[in-house]
Amino acid sequence: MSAETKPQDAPAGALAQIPALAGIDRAMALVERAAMAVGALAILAMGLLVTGSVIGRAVFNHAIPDDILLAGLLVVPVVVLPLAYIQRADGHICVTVTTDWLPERARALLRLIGCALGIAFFGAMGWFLFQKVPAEFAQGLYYDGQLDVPYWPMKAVFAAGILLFVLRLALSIAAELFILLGRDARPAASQSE
Amino acid sequence: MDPVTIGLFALAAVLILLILRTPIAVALGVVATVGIFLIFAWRPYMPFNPDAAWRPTFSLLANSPYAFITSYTLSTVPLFIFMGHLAYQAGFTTDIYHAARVWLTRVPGGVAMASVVGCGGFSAITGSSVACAAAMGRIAIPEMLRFGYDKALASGSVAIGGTLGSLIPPSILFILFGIFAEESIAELFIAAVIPGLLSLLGYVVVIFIWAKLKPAHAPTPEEDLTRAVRLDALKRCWAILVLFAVVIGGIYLGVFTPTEAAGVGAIACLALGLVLRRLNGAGIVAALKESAFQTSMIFAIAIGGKLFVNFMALTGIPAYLIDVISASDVEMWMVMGLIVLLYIGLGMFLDPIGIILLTLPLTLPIVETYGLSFIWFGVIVVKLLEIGLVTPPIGLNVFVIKSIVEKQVSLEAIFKGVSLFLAADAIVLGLLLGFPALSLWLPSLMG
Repeated sequence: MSAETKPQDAPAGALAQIPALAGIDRAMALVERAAMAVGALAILAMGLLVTGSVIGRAVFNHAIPDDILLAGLLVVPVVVLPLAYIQRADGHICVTVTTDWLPERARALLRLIGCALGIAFFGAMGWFLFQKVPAEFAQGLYYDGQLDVPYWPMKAVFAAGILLFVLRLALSIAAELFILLGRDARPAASQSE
Repeated sequence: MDPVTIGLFALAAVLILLILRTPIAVALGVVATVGIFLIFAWRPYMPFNPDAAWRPTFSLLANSPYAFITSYTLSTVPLFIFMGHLAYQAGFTTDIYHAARVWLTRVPGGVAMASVVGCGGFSAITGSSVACAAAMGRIAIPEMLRFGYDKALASGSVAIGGTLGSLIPPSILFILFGIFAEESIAELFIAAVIPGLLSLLGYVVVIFIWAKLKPAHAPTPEEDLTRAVRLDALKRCWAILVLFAVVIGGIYLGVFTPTEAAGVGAIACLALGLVLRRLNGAGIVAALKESAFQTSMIFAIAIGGKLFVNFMALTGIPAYLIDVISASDVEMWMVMGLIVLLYIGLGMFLDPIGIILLTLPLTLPIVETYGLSFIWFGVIVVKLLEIGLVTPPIGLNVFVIKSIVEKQVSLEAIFKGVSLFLAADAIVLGLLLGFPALSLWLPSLMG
């Protein structure tokens, strides 16, 4: 089983052997690191929000308005924004012991299928959620509460995180295809399962 | 087509996809989505009608995962993970190990005991077994090997000690169990205190017996530790004790909800680290990045799991299983025995979070049929999942330790070391199964 739990910087020069995709990979890596940073900062914001609310309730008898709603919404960037970064670091958990004995090309094919299924599942999820955003924006829909927090921003963040993840999965498929064709284009970390 | 048949095919499909290296999140999500589509498109005694299925399937796909991850309760997970990483970066975890080491140094197997106690201490502020094993492995194993400890004992004690990470609260597995079983996370946390301490005691006893029977495996370190050194080591543990008291005390006394306790604990850890000058910018950034990485990885699986739970409810398999069990008049202990075997079997191959999400839709209704407590069952499930973390051929904690010790200790030696501790785990599991009060007494005292 592979379970990368350390957020090492995703390996540089991924897909470097595919000149046409190397530039895209580098640009993607920058965006992924930025998205990861936003996701990480959202955890800090969540902690400060919850603590501030507890202190406010204890000292001033008033919690931060809509604290429960905001803490829940902050989970969205924490969850979806790092997904692409994790994919680049080969960090999504899968059972590998059952197929470790297969030749590299066969394993590349299985990884390719996994990525394709990932695109279908997460892509569909992001797409159908995103379709709600324009209407919710136009109608000005918001959550019931003191701050009238609108629906659409976190749904847009969710869709953006999923889009980034789907693009990374597509690049992973390109890398696996190169292995299938006999040319190893995977980053070093991906080969060490 | 009969929904139960669709559900059974789906279960087989998930297992096949997992065997074929599909990421757990994707396997659960894809099968659930296709299964939901088929249930709506292929109703019993009706022709296949895909037009009837698109809308409900896409609606569920768009709404269920988003509603799930924006739940306030789930924000507990990243906050507890963050607290654990901050404590590691600040060196609070090392303090616990160091204190146990200097106080237990003259006891047979004292350094190994200290590593297990250190794991217990780290478990009290982190919710992940793998994180616990990784953190303590880096600190304790090199020291044990330096003192001439047997490799199997040195590596096995940390691998097994790491399993306390999910059993001693706070615990990510208990949070997920609580959400899916709709049980109080606070009660689950409190219920796990005695089982966690019992497991810790069991491991210490195994080390003591091992060191007594084979003194050469656990030589006593030749060092002269003064009383002042020991007291100083003990004093340095105050920060971690304060954090534990804030989190668990706050939950137990009803001052905080578990989510609030996680937020306050994380920020308290951050403040303590900064005030004591044990945390710098790099440490905070590393803790934040590691927390975001782990949270996202876990929630990706939980999203697939959530859809799978929705799908299982639609198939009617849980109700079908209950009918079968009721009709066959099976004794409760036999059913529990089968559930134990199921979790141990799956634990040999699958990740604990994947198992919990895959099995709860099936096992919870069965447990409910027999009128058993979900709190007690949650403790049993997490204990079984922890055993799965050290059993071959997968044993995630063992691989974590292997990645730390590299060529110094073989995989076989680590598994050999762990195997002796499994005897203690079997006894503790038997006690937890036989005496539910061990899990239910503390929650019964909560207001």
